[in-house]
Amino acid sequence: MKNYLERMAELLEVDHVSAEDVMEDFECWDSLTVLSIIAYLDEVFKVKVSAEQVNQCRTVGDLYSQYGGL
Amino acid sequence: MADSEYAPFAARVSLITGAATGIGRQLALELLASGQSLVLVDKDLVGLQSLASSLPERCSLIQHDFALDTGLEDRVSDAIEKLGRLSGLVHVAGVSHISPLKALTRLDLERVMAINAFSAFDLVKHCCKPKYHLSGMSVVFVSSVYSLVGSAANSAYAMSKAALNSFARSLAIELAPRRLRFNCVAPGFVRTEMLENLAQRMGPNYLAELEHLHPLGLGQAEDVSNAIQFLLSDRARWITGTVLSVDGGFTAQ
Repeated sequence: MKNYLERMAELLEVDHVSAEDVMEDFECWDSLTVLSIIAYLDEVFKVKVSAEQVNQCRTVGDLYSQYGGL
Repeated sequence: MADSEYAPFAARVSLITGAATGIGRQLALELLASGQSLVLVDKDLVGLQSLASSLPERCSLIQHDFALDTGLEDRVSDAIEKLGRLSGLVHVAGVSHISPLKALTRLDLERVMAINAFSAFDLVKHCCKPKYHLSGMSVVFVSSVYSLVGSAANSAYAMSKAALNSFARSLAIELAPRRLRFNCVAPGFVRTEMLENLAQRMGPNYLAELEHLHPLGLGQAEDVSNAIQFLLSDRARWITGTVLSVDGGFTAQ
């Protein structure tokens, strides 16, 4: 989880994120950030998700429990 | 124009990478139908076997993953020994990689470059030895519109495909004295299984947006195959070092 939060902070272009943070509230939240998250999940967790599936996750923690904690 | 200077087109031997699916498979089917013998390369052996099942005597199959630089040379040598020296070499194998810069890693980039670009080096380094080809061999690399125009989240893929364009141009000059020709085709988006899979991940509007980028609409694998066959043929005997856009007008805008 620690590595996940560090990497998500990088993708969301901030210094730190917490599991409770709402993803669409980040200033950089756009289609390219969604693509970045798709690429990251594929690379690290070997899971293929769609843009729609990422957008259905509300928080950073939701995304992890849905696709990162497999 | 008759194929008078070299072997008749139908009697030639060509090597195709990425032959199990998509553009490579379409090209292989059309060249087999024309009478050619083919060295078929792909990591998907089952796909190659289904392609060659009707004409096994005119096909030599090589299972190879271009992410790994091992063992290709010996197997190509064996195939050429079986079928004869090459008149055509078409490098279709490749991998797409959609990733914005902030998610892209050095490892990702190295893998994409290995499969899409360094693979071309491995192929021509070996196949351009005089003992492996006939006079006038035509080499075609399948590049991409993204080697010519920018696209967000495609920097690794674009870098790898642009490398093919430059590689072909340089070799065209270097090996013209030996009558070898090197060209690229730069396709737009064609309807393949890979594109359908990508569209499912990218969302419901993806295909419509792609279609909008192509004034003539999305292409078919045979549209690219037709252009490759032209570059392989003696009709293109004075064409070398070019990048031929086959993109339904994508890059004309």
